[in-house]
Amino acid sequence: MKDASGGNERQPRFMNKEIAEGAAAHRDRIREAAAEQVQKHLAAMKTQSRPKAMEYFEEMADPFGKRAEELKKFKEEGGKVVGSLCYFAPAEIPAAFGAVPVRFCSGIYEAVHPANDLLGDAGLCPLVKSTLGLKMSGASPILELCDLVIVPTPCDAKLKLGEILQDMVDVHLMNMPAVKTTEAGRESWIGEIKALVRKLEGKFGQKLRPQMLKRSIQTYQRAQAAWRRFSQLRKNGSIWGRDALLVAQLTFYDDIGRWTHNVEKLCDELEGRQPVAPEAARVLLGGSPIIWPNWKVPLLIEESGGIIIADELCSGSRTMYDPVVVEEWTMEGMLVALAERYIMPCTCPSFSPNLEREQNMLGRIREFGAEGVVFHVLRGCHLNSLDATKADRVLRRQRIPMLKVESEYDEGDLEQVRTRVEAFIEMIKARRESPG
Amino acid sequence: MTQIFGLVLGNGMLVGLPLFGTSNILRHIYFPNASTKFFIYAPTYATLYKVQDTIFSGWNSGYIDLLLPLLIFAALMIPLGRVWCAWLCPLGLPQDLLTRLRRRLGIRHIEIAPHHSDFIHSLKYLGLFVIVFYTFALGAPMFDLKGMWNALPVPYEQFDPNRAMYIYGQIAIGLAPPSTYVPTMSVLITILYLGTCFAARRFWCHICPQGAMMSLFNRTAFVRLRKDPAKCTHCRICYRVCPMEILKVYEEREGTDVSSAKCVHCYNCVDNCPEDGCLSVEFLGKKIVQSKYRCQCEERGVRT
Repeated sequence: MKDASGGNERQPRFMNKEIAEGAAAHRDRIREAAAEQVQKHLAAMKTQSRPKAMEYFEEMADPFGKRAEELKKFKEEGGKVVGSLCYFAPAEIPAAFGAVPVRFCSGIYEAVHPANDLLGDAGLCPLVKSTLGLKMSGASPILELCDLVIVPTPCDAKLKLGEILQDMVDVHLMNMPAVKTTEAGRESWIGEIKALVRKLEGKFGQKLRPQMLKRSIQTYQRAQAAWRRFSQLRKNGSIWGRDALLVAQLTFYDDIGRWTHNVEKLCDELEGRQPVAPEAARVLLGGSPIIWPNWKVPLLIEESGGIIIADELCSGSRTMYDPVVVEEWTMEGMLVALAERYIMPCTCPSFSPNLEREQNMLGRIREFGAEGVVFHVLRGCHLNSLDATKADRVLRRQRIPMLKVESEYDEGDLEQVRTRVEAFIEMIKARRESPG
Repeated sequence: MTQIFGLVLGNGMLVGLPLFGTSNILRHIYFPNASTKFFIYAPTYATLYKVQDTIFSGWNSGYIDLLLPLLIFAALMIPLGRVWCAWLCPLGLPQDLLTRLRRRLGIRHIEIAPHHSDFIHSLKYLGLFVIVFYTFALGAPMFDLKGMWNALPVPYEQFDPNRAMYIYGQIAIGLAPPSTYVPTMSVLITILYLGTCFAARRFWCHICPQGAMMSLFNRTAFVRLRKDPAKCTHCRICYRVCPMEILKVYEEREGTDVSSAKCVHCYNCVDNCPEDGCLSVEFLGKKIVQSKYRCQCEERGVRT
């Protein structure tokens, strides 16, 4: 591993031999547990009325399964794979170089354990720990294929994860502005986007031409258009929220052209369909990212008599909702359009002030006719926890009920969360009879 | 398309006489265009030209002649504001063509930062004030500027980029004799015009003194730009596509009226806004157009 500053061999800072060996010992257990978690949740999602087009998404759902095989073959044939750790790394840029962008935030419970050994800080966000554990143990085939990992630094956990990962893989850090409303903040982010282009140009020994980037942006624009259509068709509750979330999730590693095609197919099937559960309480799911196969909360909501009618998760709707609108197809014009698309409409709690989030939530509640909000917070995610407090006050003023659900990456809290969610759904349904 | 229509009908600078003939009645209908008596076959005269002319000569008559052009102007502006600028102005079309050429060449426009934008926009009011004050001084006896009567009679017309741009065009197609006089200043300003408008979007509209007259009415015109803040995601696309750097449309979080004195009503923001019904154009409270999401990849002219 080369140091960023020069040619000297870089000494690992966090990793040592002992920890590496310990992590490697976890590998098979993580794979088994992940397969079990995937199968269990897939089984729980099945219903009679499920659209046929969902079969494709189900087939691709195993992160260690079919897609991993495809990518392995792609890599053997000389293809490039670029990982990213957050919503903020524009997939269009690696894709413009012909690389396959994969986002690998992890939702695998078992992978948390090796990370705990290394970090010595059990309070860190489980999503980051799971991702780290996955890399340490080498359990995820897709992750092992990455030539480079792009790590934006929105929160403390990801900031440090970027440093720790440098012990194991080539990392490109992207400095996130915490304040995006100023010109300086916005310009610094455009600078980061340009730095990413330069980094990839060096990595692949290829200059990025406007035509390459244009084609890539257009591919993603079509995906965004398909997702918009899907969102509209979802409004009447014609598909379960857990299925919709899975569809969004697959943008993480699926081939984007094929994904678009399959979403269109799914839309064709949903056209004119009746609601799957007309009586269910319509819930907006917000808060910390919910990463497949961590389907605990979505399943709990929908098993308790609710339906997730919309979401504002960076692992859900937000992945494809906002379009890139390019005014001028020059290199500069495209990069600015990309840079702004990823931060300006974003409702991530890492921004301050974050008025976008409350406005986005209220807008969606109105547009999708949601009756209540479940705000999911991963334990250790202070930013989302604080945003939950704010959201609660804002929503209360509008007389919209909200439930804050804290969860960990294990099933220990399952029954306790279930009780609270059930009570919340009951309350929403009771409100229908006596509003207010 | 409407711009070409407007160029031909409203101004007739290139083909004026062959189409209409010149009529004295028509010449008393003043449009915010730029044609003056210095143009060959100008079918109508510009408001700004008439204003200069009458301020200059109106001292003895108590400026009574100003009434008609200003009434016509107000009658146009109170309902429409600066709609003229984006859709009909003869100086707007070349700017758009220059922008198109620049994009074809793959050159990015020069961005005018928000804090510079206000300053540049205010220059047009300064220009208008200087023009009005100068012509007043020219005509008022106590200033005794008779020496300037021949040197600089109608000041803006000496600088106007229209003059050089269209008269050379007329000479080229044989409408005007090759000896037609064009002031040196006008040629220089035309070169400046072509340069700045190539580099920055709609730069002339920032500093146009005729635009300044129209801007005075823009905030109260019947045409209004509306925003539904609840639908806005603050993606900043409206600001990025705005040639006049209007931040208000992007920044507004409470109010619904986002009309601005700077606005030339090109409606790029409405066209590009990805949220259905977030931005709209209203005329007397009636919605004319509103924003609607569409995939940019499906636009005509974008090859895939």
